[in-house]
Amino acid sequence: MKSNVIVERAPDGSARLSVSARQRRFNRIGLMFASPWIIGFLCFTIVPVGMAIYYSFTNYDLFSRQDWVWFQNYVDIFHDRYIWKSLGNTMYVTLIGTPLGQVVALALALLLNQRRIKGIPVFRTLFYLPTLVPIVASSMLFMWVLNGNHGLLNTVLGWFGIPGPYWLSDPKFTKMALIIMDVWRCGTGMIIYLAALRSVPETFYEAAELDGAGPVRRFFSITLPCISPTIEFQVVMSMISHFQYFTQAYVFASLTDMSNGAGGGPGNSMLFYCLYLYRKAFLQYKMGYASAMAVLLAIIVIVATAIVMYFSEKSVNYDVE
Amino acid sequence: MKKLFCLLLALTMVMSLAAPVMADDPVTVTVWTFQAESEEPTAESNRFLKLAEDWNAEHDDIKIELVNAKTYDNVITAIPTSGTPDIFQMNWEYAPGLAARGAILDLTDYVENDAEFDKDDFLPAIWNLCSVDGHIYSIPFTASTTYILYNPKVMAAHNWDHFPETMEEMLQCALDCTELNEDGTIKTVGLHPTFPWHDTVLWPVAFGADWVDEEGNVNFNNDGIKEAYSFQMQLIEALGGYNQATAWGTDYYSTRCTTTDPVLTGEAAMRFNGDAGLAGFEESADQLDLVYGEDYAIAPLPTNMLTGGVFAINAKTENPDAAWQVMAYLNGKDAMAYRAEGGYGRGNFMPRISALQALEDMDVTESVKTAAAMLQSAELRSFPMSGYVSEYLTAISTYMGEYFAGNLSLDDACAEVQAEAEAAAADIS
Repeated sequence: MKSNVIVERAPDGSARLSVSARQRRFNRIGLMFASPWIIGFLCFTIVPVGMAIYYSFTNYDLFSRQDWVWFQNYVDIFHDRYIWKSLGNTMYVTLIGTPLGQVVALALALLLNQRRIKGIPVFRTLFYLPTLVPIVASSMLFMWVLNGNHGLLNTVLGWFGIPGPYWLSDPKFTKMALIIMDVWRCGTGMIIYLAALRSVPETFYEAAELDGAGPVRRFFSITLPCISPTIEFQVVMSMISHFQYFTQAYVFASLTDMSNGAGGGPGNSMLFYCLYLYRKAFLQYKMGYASAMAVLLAIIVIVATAIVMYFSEKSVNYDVE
Repeated sequence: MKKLFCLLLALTMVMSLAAPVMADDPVTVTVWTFQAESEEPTAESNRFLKLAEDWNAEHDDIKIELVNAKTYDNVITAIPTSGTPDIFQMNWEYAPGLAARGAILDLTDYVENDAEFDKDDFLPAIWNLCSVDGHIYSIPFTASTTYILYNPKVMAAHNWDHFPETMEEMLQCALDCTELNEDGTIKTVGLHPTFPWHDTVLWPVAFGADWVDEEGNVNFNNDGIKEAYSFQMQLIEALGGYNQATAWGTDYYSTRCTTTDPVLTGEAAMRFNGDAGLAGFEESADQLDLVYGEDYAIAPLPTNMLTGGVFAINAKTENPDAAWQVMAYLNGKDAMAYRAEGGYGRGNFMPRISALQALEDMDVTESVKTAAAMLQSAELRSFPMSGYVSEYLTAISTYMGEYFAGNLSLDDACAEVQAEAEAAAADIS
């Protein structure tokens, strides 16, 4: 086969690698085909990120001001009590919502991975359906389900003699209310786990069964290691989406707080980081400050992802197949 | 020769491209409203569309392109870099902030010098909502006050045979009418201070409190404000505390002005509501065969507040004069008299006196007519306008919400609002 790389000899005897004209032409065509994506990536990702970093060092207010203020926005952030409150609320849903959502999604996937049960496709569709409900509609539905006095959940809890809390008005339970709704919408995660479970070689289970391994042992020794790359992916993606928590909180907080624009819910218990960022940017016109918040959030997400990747390095197994 | 041909060809192309601009093409004025789209022809969104259609049929020089169902987010992301929309709707509290940042046109000269627009036909107090430092930046297109809806039978059952005349009486009446069940849950609400919403303006107005001092400086940390919030807190505590009171509010939010409204069902003695809900409230009472004055009634607060929706003109508009003509038309006497008919003919409160008077001859409920009359005669107060009004209101709702939730003391909450509003004032200056 003819190589596309040519070794050229200089007059002094040194060697230099160069690419053939044919390969250069291929490269140009490749770049041409990729150019729409490259241009889009530059215009809609790199430039906005760069602009956000730039604005974070200014007092940009969308209209009249754009003075360079160095690190003032970052200094102000560390003195803003609601940054810490919103970060605390965000960490709460991230640290509880992420593992809970993954456990439920994986459990559902395991249930729906049974080949011997009839009508499994119907169940899969039913469990996936909540994901298709628009998030605002889901929020409105759960405003009823989680109603403290007449809600479905508290009614069911009442049958067992458990007094349900005021999910939507007690600041101690509002975030848990949001997590419950998110768990109900775990259909996407379930489908991804289901695909991962289907890719685990059947021979592994057969060999384990011959060795006398029970279902629990098979799950921990075969299933989990085999789908660990999927779990890692899911955890990282779920964590990032929890850090960007906005729509559900916006709807819930608006309907329980009844205050003007982007309220934080009862006792600001639903004031999440992105909700606060939105308030600063679009209701108070502090786009410079909001940009600094966005940069800080990006750093937090990068650090959190790096921590997850570091700890998963030894436990994630990429050797299947 | 070839060069000359190319030159002529290029010139022809440029001319042909410029031709539409050089001709007398109509100027298009884009208007964005927040009105929800509806199939009901009398809905506010369709009334605006009809007004635009009528204008376009009569005018060749200026055309209106009216788009409903926009949001404040749409506006705030469009106007920093674009002249579109030329005119846009917003809540009253956002105009001063945009004015302070040069984002909307100063309309003072237009308003003062347009005789046909007739500024004096508007409620005098409404201009407070549209002005900052004596300059008019927005034009009101609705006017709104708040009323107390009450159930005389519930009040009579708790030994109140008349509607409270002072705020002290109202507090006592509300406390007397509040009843809890043996298990501590709410049986009857006397008056829920934050239902249907946490109103940052209503109760301070009712108590005659001020948000700024005589020099116009932030003054939230004062006795009048504290009295208004203590009043609310006492009512919340009487309802079994913040969690239970808020849960009740969430429960009943969707029942407002329906046949299951807590005042109509006797589950509440009193509650406040914007005047826009009066017609629906009375229609629901009619459906239940309830009698006004016996089963339900409506009363104004001792001192009432005025709010409203406004239109503003984008400072980047390419056609300010045309935009003003459209603004004056959409908020003119005829347009407001037409819009005063309201959705389903229930009536709609306009800031123009002539439109409010037109309501008297319409087939609307008596309370709507009474409210229209009161708008014209009452001494109405509004939140003091400044470039930092939005930040001020957000601080009030944030910190006083913390006070209601028991996270901050009243003194600390007021001090926090004071500090944050002062910082916003300093920032804007």
